[in-house]
Amino acid sequence: MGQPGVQRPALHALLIHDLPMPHPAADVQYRLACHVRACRIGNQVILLDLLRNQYVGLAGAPLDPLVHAVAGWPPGTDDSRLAGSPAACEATIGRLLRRGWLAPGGDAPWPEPSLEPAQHSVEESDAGTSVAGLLPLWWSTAVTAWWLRRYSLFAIQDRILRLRGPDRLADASASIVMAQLVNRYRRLRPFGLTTHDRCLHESLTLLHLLSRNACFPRWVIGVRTQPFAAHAWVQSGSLVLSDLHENVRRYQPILVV
Amino acid sequence: MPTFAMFRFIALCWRPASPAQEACARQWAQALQQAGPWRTALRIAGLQVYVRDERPGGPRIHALPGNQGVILGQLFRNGSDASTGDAVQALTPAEADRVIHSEGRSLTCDFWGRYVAFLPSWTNEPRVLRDPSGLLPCFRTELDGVGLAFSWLEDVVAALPLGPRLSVDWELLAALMLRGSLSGRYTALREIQQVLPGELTGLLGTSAAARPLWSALDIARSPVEWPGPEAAQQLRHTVVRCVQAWASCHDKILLRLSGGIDSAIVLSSLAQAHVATRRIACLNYYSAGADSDERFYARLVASHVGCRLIEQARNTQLRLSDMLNVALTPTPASYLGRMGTGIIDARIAAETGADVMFTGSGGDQVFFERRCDWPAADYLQQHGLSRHFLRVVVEAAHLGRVSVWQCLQHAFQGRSRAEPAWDRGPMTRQASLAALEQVERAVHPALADAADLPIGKFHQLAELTTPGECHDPYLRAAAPALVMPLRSQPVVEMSLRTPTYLLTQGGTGRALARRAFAEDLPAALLARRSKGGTGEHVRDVLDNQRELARTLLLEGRLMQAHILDRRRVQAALADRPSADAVHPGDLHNAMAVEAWLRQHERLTTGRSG
Repeated sequence: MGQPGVQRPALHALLIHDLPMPHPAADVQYRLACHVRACRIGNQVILLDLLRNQYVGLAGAPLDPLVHAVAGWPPGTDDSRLAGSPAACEATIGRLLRRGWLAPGGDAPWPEPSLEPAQHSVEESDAGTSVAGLLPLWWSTAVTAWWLRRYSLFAIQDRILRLRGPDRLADASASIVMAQLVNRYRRLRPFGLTTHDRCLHESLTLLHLLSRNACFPRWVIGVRTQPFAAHAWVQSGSLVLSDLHENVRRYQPILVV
Repeated sequence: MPTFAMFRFIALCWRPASPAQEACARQWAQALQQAGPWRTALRIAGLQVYVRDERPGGPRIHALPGNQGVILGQLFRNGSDASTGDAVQALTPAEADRVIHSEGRSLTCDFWGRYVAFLPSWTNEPRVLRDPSGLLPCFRTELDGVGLAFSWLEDVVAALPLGPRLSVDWELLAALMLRGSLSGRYTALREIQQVLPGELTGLLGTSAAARPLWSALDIARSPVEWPGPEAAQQLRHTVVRCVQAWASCHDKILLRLSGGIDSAIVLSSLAQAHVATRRIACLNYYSAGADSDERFYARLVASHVGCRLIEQARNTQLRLSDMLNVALTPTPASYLGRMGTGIIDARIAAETGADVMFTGSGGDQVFFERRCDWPAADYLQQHGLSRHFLRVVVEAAHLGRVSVWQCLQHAFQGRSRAEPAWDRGPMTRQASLAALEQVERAVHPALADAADLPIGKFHQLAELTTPGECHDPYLRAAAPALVMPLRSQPVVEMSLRTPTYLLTQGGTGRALARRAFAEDLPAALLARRSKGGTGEHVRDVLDNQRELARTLLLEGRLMQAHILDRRRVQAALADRPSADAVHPGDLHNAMAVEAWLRQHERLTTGRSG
């Protein structure tokens, strides 16, 4: 407040709160749906529905026991089993099932990619750009704009995975190469796209551009609360490529591709 | 708790031809003397000026000959041949003569500093001039026909029967909450007006005429296209000169060294001005969070200069209830910038022997740190489609993180571009809309005449018309005096004259300032693009004080006046997910206003809040 033009994330939040307490002795019979990601911030659990491009906020004291009933549910600080009626538990899980955020089965549906804490940003340098770099930038900008217009985040995630070539993990020399590419991108960026308040498009564009140079960093979406906000960025190891590491550290990663 | 001298003044003025007013003024002068150790600075027919809490090196009294007026404050001589820049001990007869005959205008041209000047007219009409920086507060009101000018409202309320007559201007209060500041003549109290910086104002009559002797707008209308490296040289020279001048007033200095470029420039300037490093102690606050620990940069700068650095953790367990004892000022002040640090500032200042704290406040505005593409529009308006226009467009696109196509579009739209909407935070929609209608009363009147300014320079002017706060309304005299060298008149003038596309040449904020001090600051700091913040600390403090926040906000006068939105406030305080954009800082600011309203109620009704 007091600042005109403060932008809220393009994805909006729905609220469900005051969940009834689940039964503590329930076996793990459910899992997060394959198109749902979750993270915990304090007493809140944020779900990201990749099919509907929606965030869902959950709050209420008994969120912790769901970790024993739902595979992939983010644990809280207090893991104690709490008393509660099976009916209440089933009602809660039923509501989440009906909305498609949970699925039957207790196996984790996807591997958990690791993400190092963001500790460094790419330092600016004279990258020696040439006009020839514009065409790849325009192509990546157009492709990712098309993705955002046509596909859900779930489908975009799939396309990102298909961009990855033979298994190449970021190493020290790759970081140097990526930093050089990022600086070239930065100098050419104004000729391609607006990035102010468009972190999704920028992060995807940079990711696509780097993939054309056989570099495959991670694409990350993070969230924060009070107030709610979401942010997307590109990171390789502890090196943040599309933003300043101080900025992204305000966000709790919810999706890492 | 240590105490520091907090220089204040009060002036009483009346029509000598009115026996009733004269009797009133005499009675109140006696009440003032009984209330505190006030010293008479000027006593003539129809005008008496009192000061208190002077200290060596601080504001002083400069009496004009023949009782033709008095200047209160700190003065430095202007001009390129001004010598060391030490504070003026006494005006020469020629200087005093010029002040009188120019009716104060020579003060704004030949001098700068922090002062107010009482300059009666040739018909003995009492008038006051506030210096262009506005660093010394100056308010006016009338009580039973007697005019009052003062710097600290609590002094007036303590001695005179003004308190019960003060009423809250709710529309302007809402405007303050929406915009973050009030830069016009009107305050949140209907009966109190602010004397604007650079204006000579009559003190009697509800329609007392105000005449600007110095105009930031006129300066902004006269841009200087400094050639080559001259802009950076001029900026550096101006900043160092001003810092040196302020430093000459104090034996020991405590500097708030945040780790950002602005405070680093102040520290570097102290070193350039040959201020002995043993006279300087730097203080850095840090807390856990994404961007609230800048000790790396603070240490870098302190060791580069060779100064002592004191590192202090921010306290998340501080008691917000202490801020309920806020001083009644004409407009509520936010405590966010001094949350929990004011007491520590005072303690460390006392320990180091400093009676003043320097800060880098104002750097964002004078050096132009703003994410925007306005410089391209400014250049187009100044020069049209000249040969450098495309370069400026590319640089502005970098600065604003927009595409060159969007930057070009904005440049041609210029001032006709639609302004982005204000975020109402915890306010009701109705209150925020009503607040937007108060723009003429909420902002400096010069902005209404600034339609010819380029958009970037207009917004910079709007930011620079809001003076900084030099008094702490929470600690009062327990806080060391604040000195903000970057808000000095010469620095502000240079910044207003310099086009935004020069201030940001290369496509980064503070570009000119970085070049100006490239030889003086560590490379890592010059290359720094991030900005420190206290977001997590602000949130943690609120989390620890939710009950107090609920009591204040849900049961307070702002809610009763339908300025706050109950649903939004409840959701923000309930630690539940919410799509409303209510920042913890918004809630803190609302609590500061609520505390101020409680003080007002206590003074006007005698009831505790």
